[in-house]
Amino acid sequence: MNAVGFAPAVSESGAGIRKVVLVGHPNVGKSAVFSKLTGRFVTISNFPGTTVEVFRGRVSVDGREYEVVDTPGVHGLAGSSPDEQVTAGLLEIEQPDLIVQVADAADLRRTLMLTARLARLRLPLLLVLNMGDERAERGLRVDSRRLSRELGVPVIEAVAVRGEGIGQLLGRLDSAACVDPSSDPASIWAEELAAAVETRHARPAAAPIRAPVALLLLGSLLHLHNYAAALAAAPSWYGWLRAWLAGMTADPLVVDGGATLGGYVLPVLVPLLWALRTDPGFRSALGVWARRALPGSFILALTLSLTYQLVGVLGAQVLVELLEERLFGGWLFPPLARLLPQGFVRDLLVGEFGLVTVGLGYGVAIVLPVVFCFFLAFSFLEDSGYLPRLSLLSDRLFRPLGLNGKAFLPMVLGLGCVTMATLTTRILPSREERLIASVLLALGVPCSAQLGVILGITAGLSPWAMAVVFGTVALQLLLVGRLLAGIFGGGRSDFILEIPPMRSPLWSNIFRKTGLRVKWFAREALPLFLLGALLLFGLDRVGALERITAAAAPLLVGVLQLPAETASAFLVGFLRRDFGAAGLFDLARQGRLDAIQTVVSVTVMILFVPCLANLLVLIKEHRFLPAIGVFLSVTFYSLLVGAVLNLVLRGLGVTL
Amino acid sequence: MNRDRPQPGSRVRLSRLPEGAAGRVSRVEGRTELLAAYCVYPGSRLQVRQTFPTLVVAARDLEFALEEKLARLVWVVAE
Repeated sequence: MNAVGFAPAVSESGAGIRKVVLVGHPNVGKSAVFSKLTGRFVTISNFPGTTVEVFRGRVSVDGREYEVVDTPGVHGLAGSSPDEQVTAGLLEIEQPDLIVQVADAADLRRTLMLTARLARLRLPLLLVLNMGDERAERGLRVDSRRLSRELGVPVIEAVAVRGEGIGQLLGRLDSAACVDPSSDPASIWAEELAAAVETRHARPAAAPIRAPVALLLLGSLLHLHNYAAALAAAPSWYGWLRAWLAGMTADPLVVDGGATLGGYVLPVLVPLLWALRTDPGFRSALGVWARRALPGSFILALTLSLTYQLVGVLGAQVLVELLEERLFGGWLFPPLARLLPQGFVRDLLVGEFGLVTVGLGYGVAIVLPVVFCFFLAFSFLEDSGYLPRLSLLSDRLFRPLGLNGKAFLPMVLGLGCVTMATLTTRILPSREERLIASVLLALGVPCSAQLGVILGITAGLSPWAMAVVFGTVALQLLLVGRLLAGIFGGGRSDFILEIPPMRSPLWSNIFRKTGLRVKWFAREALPLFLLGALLLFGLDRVGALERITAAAAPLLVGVLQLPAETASAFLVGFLRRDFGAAGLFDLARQGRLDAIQTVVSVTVMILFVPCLANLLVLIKEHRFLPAIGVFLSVTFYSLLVGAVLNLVLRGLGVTL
Repeated sequence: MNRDRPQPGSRVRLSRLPEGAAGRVSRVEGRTELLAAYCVYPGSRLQVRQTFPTLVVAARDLEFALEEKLARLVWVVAE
């Protein structure tokens, strides 16, 4: 991927290279067109505002070189948000040779409103009517030849995710025509033009409820039954399946994996995927249910539950056990330890803080399977169109925090990676909102790796332990958000958000995105895991770890009432919070943390300092002093919350 | 908020339309550039698809959510 930040003063095109800029509303498929044109993959999703940076790539057609620039989605060129400023600034300063307006074919009026604004730039234009398949599904037809004649520029119909129309687009990159809108206001021009070229054919009759929908409902009921039975400690289908599998095989991994898939994931997921693929009526109905308060809450509970099963159970328990105990503990560590003679090298590699045992052990065996499962689930949700519906459902929740529903995207992206999400806060229009969202991300939004590890730790306790951890974190987000909203009062922008149709995600896109994200994680995080292991090893070797543990003891042991060994977990938490969480995971599995200690340490780790990468992005986005202020206040606050939580749980004699 | 179905032909704010009701935009009192980007301009037809937890409006095939503060800026002639 060739991601280059917007550098307005200097064009990157060399002599003879024509610059083509992709412009369009959010969520119309610009990144899909970019990927197909250049062969470079950028994240494509079904959520307005996914692209927050400028991406550049090259393509050669008949020996002629083009630089293609993908821009953040815009509603106009007035520069009312940072994204819009980037796109408008790029068009004004870099003066491209051609603008390719990518548009939703089913939304012609809005498309033409933007066309009218682009026309004022007097630059050659080409219009791509993307997502023609959805237009047909909605019963719409556009006479693109006539539209091309009326506009005076080429109009190409495309379905970019499938590569349709891309060849035609490549053949028209030498287009040199400008639009000549009439002197009418843009809205009248757009209305008249759209009315002239748009027709509606009869929609197919609404599909009756089909088998997949019935299966989905049945699966959901089974899912609820399993949860209710688990809470009441009664036999459930899940329990029955587990017992049956245990009778078939003695392998606990097969039993756990089979029961998770068979008992929780498959009964809901398979019918859902089937219905999404085959039934447009179901997709449309699901889109409506998901944005309504009551059915939306039910769908949210189901989605969270499935995500938990995939990430917290299958990823953090079954796969972690497979990798950590079988692969690393059974096949890798013992032969390696036997091969190496006693001494420094052996300690460095497979000792208590060895590069292989801790660096690779935590990074690959504990965190990687969790990250993989989370990215898989997140990519699916991202492409389905469900996330914007959660945005509008959550708008009222965000208002007391000085934010609006648009903040949902950075917050939920934060569950993937807080560093990336901090960059995405740029979609929020005001500086105050961006700062509030960045602080809340740094404070209480655990990244996927950390979240998965924490789900894995708390899954070993009662459901109440998980409720206490996440309830405490949510309460802190609310309190700090309220406080910041009070300080930056009046900074909240107006909430308006397009709701895209629900789509059946393409598995190729989901696996490609997941693969790229896992690769990115391995490139960014694994060196830090090795560095953290090396740091711990070095500190341990010179006796400093013992001194740090002793120095932290009054705080950790005296105030938080945690074992002194947690000092090393919190220490590496400065590098990466998931690394720290993995350390706690290890301690919990060894039985060195009781239930309250587990809950307190995990809560502090979630609220703990932003990781190194996030601190650097905070400095980049908000300047040095505010970023350091966030860092110090979050550190202090997390310890304070841990101390209070410990006092409350022990004072009330809570059993978890 | 009182969202009784208004008399056809009466001018009301978009925020007062109940679920299922439709109207044609007669005036936009502010944020015209932003709202026009969502096809909210004089002459366009809007239909209220949902009022809670957030107002959801359809302008032809475009569906969008907007908060009431913005909806109060839009006057429609009820159908």
